[in-house]
Amino acid sequence: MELPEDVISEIFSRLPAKSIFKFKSCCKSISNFTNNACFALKQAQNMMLKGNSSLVIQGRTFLRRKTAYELPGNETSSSGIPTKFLQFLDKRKISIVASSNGLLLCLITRPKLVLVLFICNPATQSCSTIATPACLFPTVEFAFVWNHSTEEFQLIYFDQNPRQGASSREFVCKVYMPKEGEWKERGSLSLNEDRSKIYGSHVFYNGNIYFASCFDNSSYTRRYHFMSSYNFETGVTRRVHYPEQVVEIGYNRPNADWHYWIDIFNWGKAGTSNDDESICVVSLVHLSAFTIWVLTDLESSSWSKFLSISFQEMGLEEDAPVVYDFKIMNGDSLVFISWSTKNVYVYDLLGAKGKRLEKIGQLEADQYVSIIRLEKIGQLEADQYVSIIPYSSTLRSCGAGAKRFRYEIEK
Amino acid sequence: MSSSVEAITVLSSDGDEFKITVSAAKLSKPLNWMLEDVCFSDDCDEVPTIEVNSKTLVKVIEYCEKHAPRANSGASDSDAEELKKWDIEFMKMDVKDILFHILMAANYLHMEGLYDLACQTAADLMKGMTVSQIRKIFHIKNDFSSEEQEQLRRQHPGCSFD
Repeated sequence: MELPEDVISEIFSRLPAKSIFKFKSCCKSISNFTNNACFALKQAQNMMLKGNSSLVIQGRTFLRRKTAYELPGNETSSSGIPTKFLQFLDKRKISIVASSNGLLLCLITRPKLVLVLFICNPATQSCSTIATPACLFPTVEFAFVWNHSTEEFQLIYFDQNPRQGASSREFVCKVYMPKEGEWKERGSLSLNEDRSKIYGSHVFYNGNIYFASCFDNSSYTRRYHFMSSYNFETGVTRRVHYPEQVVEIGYNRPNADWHYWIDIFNWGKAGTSNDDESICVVSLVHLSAFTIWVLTDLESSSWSKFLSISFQEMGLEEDAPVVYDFKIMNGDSLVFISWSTKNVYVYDLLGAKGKRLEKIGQLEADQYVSIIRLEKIGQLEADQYVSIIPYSSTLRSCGAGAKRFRYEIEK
Repeated sequence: MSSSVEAITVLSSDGDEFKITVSAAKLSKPLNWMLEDVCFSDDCDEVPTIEVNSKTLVKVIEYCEKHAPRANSGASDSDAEELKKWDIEFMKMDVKDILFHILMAANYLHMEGLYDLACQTAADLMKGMTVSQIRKIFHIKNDFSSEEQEQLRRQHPGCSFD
């Protein structure tokens, strides 16, 4: 049966970018429609609904070597990031700072600490440079989000107000949009207490940006941790208290924060317009169990406990692994890396697939520096030694001024 | 619409008769219009024809009947999971032989859910194929000149011609 071109185009828009490039050579009409900007947008949108199909693990502090892994259910190498591209990044000492729907935010450290940020799409081999922000990155977290109304990506970070010094409670919200080509102040927020800190993942959901924050509470001689939200439209900052158990374990026990780690992620499948979508906080306590709480109401800081599970209950065979990094991907899969075996695991939180815990790979021994001290891990604001970067193979554009790049690897 | 009507009879393009329940027919706008026509017209004897062959129509109706309860009432999440599994089983079919026919039928009958599902299934099957296999299933010919092939290969080192 012969299919009309619009139906063929519809099928092609559900393929990962890598396969689309492979099949460009089928005939002229396929080559033409896949070059179309509308097709690229549609493909990226479809991939966003499907979620990220693979991930890159990157050593953060010392060696920056990167390796790609596929999530279960994806045939190898059809949707992943090109290995050559990762080798290229390693060779040039380029690190990946953030990712969104097939685009990577990368950082090059030039001599004399000149830092250059750029956005690239490894699948389309295009890139565009981002104006260097006036902040102390690499310590700054960037939120890399897709703006549905402008159909462009935007970058956001919070900078401690330079006019008030490092102990300031005031933060300035800086936004970069490719059309404007510069970082602009978009309001400021106050965390109410001095010596406040913002750390961990910055998560965008429903017009708000969510991030973990804390301040030193001298009367408790402990840090007080909470989540903050910042709304772009209204400029309203809100302090969202964590569930009581999270707070208790977090700062009431002596030295608890050495073995305690929390982070914030998107929850539920994005774009499916169901009520399941929200924000979740994941805590890893005493390096033995993950607990996941889902935010049910922002205004009243209401949470519902979704799951508390130990490694043993997950079916993990190794004893008490120390976790390098963990992340919830696609709102339903918990990815984590064991320090002892260097194994990379995915745990299916919804149980929709047959096998819930799956090993998707193993880091190479020399990939990460072995001098990491055990007690360092789990420290809340410590450098995480490896980071997990989600990836999806899309035709997403790097913006109007994007250039094609070539990477040559010595043979 | 008379409430006594629970199912209507339609003809496939091959002239075979099929029954489809009213609730299942609601998944497709054209089928729904057809149903209203049948129920409101005085001459109920005329059996409407759907331009879909028998082999495909069986599958389309099977899909409609399975999805009708959820589409009409909005069932629980556990049903949604079960339905997803059913969809996967349902889509285990040959691309050229039947999947493309279902795709076209879903397009023609404005059935968004089935169209989405069929497109995604086709795309998933294509991922592992070679360029010549793709040409074969879509009945397309390589219309590039050798210079154009060379140019394309330079632009996209990942593409192949066989």
